[in-house]
Amino acid sequence: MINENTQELIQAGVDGELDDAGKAELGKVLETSAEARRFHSELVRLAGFLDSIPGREMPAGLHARIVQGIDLPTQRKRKSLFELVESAPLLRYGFAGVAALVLAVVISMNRDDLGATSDVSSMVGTMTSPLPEAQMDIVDRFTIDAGSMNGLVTLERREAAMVVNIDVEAVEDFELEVDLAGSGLMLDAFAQMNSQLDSISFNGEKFNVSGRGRQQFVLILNPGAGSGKVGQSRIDLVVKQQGAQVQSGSLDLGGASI
Amino acid sequence: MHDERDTALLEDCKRGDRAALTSLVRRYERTVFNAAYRMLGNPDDAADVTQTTFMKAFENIGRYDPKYKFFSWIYRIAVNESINQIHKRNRFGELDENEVSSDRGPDEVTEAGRTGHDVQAVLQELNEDHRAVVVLRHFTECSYREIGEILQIPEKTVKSRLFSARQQMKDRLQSRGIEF
Repeated sequence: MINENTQELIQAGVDGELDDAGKAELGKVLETSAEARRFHSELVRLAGFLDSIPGREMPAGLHARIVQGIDLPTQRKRKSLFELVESAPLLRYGFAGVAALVLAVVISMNRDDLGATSDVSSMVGTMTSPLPEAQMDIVDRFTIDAGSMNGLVTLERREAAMVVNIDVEAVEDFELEVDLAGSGLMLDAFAQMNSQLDSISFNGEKFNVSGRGRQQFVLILNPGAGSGKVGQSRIDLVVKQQGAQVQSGSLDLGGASI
Repeated sequence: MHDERDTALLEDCKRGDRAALTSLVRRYERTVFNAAYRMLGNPDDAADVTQTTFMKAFENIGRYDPKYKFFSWIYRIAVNESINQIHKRNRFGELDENEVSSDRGPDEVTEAGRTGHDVQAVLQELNEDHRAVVVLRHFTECSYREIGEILQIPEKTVKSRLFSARQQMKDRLQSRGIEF
């Protein structure tokens, strides 16, 4: 019967916890005792068996749940563009003040990016008037949890507009495509908050951005000419990293009236 | 190296950098989830514990002592939260102490997966102290010193608990006809 000290020595050897002197001592014990050798071999097999049990995959969406549940010490509460507008009275009197005064809410497209049909000044006008008293309903949401990226895209209804509110963070460069082709909606305005996207483009149907780190921005959409109701349609989303699609999905407008 | 990166990410987190938070969470979330799963035997409870662990870690980040490794801090919270969850479950009689969730993941349909399920059942038969040392040694690959730090017990106690836990596991695995 091997004693407790020997058992402990053998266990420490199996667990890789011995220094050179301990290894030498263990070597001697194993040379001289058949029972120690049997115990050692059994423990090696048990430890190897337990180490070989595969890990269990995390449930989908857990990463996003964890990250979104954490408020960092110096981080301000996430606000939508509308909350920011509502909290800054000056903004109610003209969007010219928005870019100059506040935040990083910047209408940051240029005409070349937008194409001939878009007009930056009209986008600005759309954002200012009905917002302060407007009710907001979340119509649909899409959680991004892919590669080194996570975030949340919500589709919100604000009286006269539909708003896509995007809050993502990515350790590596990402691209996001928002395809309006199947939505019956037109892009009216775009604004960045606390973010600096690397590129922004819009071809009349697809709105594409790229960047890294935390990016918060919104798209303000209105129905096409003559339409007051959005049908059973959707906005498609594609997320890419390193040129490859890592996630896709859609926001369902679900017949929301605006 | 790992420690230096953790320290840098933690500093960035304290300045409100959410990309650093994402990085730090990605480093440890899978291990924390697996440790919680091995402690609890139920993936839903393990997911809740994983979320709570990170929330508590960042809520109390000011109390983190940098002389210890970040993973020791986070695993300690995870083990304590798991034990709290076990007590809560026992109090409300939601699941018997020795019962393993029948919710098998896709990986448990295979032979190796079935063995994993049996190992989980045996783990659930150990008391919490013994289960914790086995989980930390075999499912998070901690050293004796690290296990001692996490559980706040002397290394000598780590060794004796591990020895006793392994003996029990060996006997129970053999009685279930599991070869190793």
